[in-house]
Amino acid sequence: MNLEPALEAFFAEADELLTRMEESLLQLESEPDNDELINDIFRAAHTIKGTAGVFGFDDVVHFTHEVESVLDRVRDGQMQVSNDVIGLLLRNKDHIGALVRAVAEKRELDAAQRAEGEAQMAALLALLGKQPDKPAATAVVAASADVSRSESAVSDSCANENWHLSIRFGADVLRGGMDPLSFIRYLCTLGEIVHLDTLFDALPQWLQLDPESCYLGFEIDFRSEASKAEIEGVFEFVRDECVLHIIPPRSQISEYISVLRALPEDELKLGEMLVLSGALTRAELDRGLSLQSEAASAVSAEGDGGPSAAPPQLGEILIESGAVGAGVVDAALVKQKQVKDTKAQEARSLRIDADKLDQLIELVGELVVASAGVQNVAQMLAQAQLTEASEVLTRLVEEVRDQALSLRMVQIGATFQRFQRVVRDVSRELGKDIELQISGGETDLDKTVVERIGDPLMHLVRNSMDHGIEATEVRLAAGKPARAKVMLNAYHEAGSIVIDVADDGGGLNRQKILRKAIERGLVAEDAQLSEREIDRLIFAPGFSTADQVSNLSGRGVGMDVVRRDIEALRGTVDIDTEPGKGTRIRIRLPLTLAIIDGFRVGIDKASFVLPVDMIVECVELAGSIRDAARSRGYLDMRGEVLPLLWLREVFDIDSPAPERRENVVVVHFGQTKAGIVVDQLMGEHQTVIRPLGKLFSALRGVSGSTILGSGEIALILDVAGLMKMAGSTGMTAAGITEMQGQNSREMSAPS
Amino acid sequence: MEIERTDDGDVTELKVVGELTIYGAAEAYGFLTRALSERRDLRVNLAQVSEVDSSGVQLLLAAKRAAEKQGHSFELVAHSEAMLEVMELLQLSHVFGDPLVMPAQAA
Repeated sequence: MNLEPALEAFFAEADELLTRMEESLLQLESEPDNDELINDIFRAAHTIKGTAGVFGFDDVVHFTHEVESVLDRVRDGQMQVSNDVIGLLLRNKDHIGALVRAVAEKRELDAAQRAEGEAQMAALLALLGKQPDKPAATAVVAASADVSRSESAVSDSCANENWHLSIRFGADVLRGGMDPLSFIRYLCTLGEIVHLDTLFDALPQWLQLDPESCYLGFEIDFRSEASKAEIEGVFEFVRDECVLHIIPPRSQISEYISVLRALPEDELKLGEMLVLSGALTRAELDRGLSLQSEAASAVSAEGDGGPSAAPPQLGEILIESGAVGAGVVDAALVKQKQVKDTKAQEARSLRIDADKLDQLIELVGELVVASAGVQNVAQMLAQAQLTEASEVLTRLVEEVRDQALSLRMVQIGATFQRFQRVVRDVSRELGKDIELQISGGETDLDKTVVERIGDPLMHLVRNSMDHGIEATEVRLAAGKPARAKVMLNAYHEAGSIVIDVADDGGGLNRQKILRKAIERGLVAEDAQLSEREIDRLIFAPGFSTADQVSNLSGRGVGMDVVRRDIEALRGTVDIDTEPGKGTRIRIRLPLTLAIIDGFRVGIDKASFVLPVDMIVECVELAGSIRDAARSRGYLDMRGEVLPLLWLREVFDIDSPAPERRENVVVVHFGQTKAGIVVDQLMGEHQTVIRPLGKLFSALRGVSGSTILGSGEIALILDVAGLMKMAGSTGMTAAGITEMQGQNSREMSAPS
Repeated sequence: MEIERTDDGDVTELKVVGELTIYGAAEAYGFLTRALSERRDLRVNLAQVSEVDSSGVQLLLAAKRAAEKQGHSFELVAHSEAMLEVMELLQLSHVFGDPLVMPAQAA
């Protein structure tokens, strides 16, 4: 029988799924917040249920359904994964195994197994808060009835070996010289017509009859070994002029499903998968797709139909038009998802020694420098062929560099996920109802950064929960939902990665901060501080506002450590708070610590490198504008105030400024823009960052050094540092702080 | 295609000779329309039918329906081999309800 291989596939798969389910359950015991695991278990149960349903193993379906319901609640966070629940689920898994084995061996469960099943069912229903449907005694009968029913379902499907063809010919078929009868005769060459109904309901009244029009339709039960495509091929010449539905025999459906399962693990579109499995013919797919696009254009034509008027899914269309059964589409969708999942798993599974990776990056760094050298020589020699070759080389090296660096990139999601547990535990400890919302988990950043950002994030998250989020009563009184939110978000912005730790709590209490700061002697009593400056006080060493010292935070170490950690990563930390609404702490980190796209600028004979990502534009500074800028310390950039920083002065370079013109490199960092005035612009340049020695660790405004292709050394400018430095010195400083003030006003205005 | 008409008491017998196909469908329709308009019982003799296609089948079906609606009988007799083959293929014998006489050589 055709069904056997499909059944075997099902048993083998069920076995595999159950094993996986068990592994995941055991792992879940130690990591109850691992969503992946819960999803994995859910998927396993769901797949078993779905496939068992296709085969009509009702008792497997029935039991697994309740297990799935419990898992669903766990997945939605409505139910906690206690050890009891895991224990029950493990026993459930065993029972599903017993049920499947019973079906495989075509026998009924023995009394002990049945009793175990009922006990588990009762426990499941109790967990779900449902009453058992029937008293125990009748449940036994019902269970055994289920078993026998499922067997009859199997034999049923074996007997129903026939295809069903439903065909209505178009009116013009006869006039086109085609005789429906000849198609049916041809069909007979592919198999045997078991039963045929000629439908003539479409025949009009005699006097309205057009003898040359065709009014016939046929319903045919057909026994054949032919594929769906072959059967459809019979009607090829009238395909466009008739309505044809080919419904495969039941066993064929399981065959499609097993073929679907056996498909190579490639990412395929749903339709393609169905065609490959033979469940759908190419022509049916094309029609389905055109129906879909028609529907889609109809939706868009309706204009703002809203999201509810989304175009239908291909699967739905195919099922509706009767081209394929729902079971087959489901199986294909499951397969599609599996493929995606395994793809994801594969992507995760390559493990490389971190040292090897570092060596590779090191070498790539050397390569970048060497190739820059070649480029220099090529430019000097100005020989066409050499230049061309070196261009190609440079491009390739750039690609190699990007690829190599991306090897070090990891998603921040895993780090974020760890906080689920923290938030759960801490919220319980604090007696607050807090949920963690994570977004941007797929944002990549350098592995070293990820490793070192964990601790500061932990501080910030705990701090948010402890200080930021108010007690539940306070929240309710303020008209906020009882359940508070802590949000972690990450995204890329201008060559850096931004990580937000936000909460919807009470915001910073500025008066309290100021009072504490004065108490602790951090600021003078009569100091006039801007709101922003007050906010930043929380990063000052030895600062804490907590009324109660909890064992989480409030001991006065924390925020200053966070700031130090982040600054050690060449990052910055910013705070944005609104009383009553919440606080957002924004961490900005460089994407990578190793290689950047640099922009080389020159002062006299010295070269400096700026990260290209931070550069907005370059403008000439000459003539009267130059004189004005010189005296005012800022530039009028299209009506915007652009504070300027003369690099020559910053580094005390003892040479006269060029006679004719200087250049302004407009850089931005976060919300702030500034212009750096240099002598020359020397263009883009790949830059391998070399850390400066310990001797220079106190040097400000410089973040590292690099070796140029010519062998010279250039310093890499630390834009953030320069801006801060500018903030504390004289005339240019006024410009920059003014700018910052402006920005902070802009920021708070719309919110 | 030719249709020969003979009256047998109350019954009009139409004997179809040749192909009952799309090529003669309009002609056959005309003939049957006239016969139906006389409002008599009809008997179609199919002995000389050399070929039948879907148009022939649906014409006979429609005529039967029309005649019976008028309250007259419509009977197919003496099916030729070609006619029998189509009746069998489309499993129409129960639709027409006429006794089929299998030719000796086909049995």
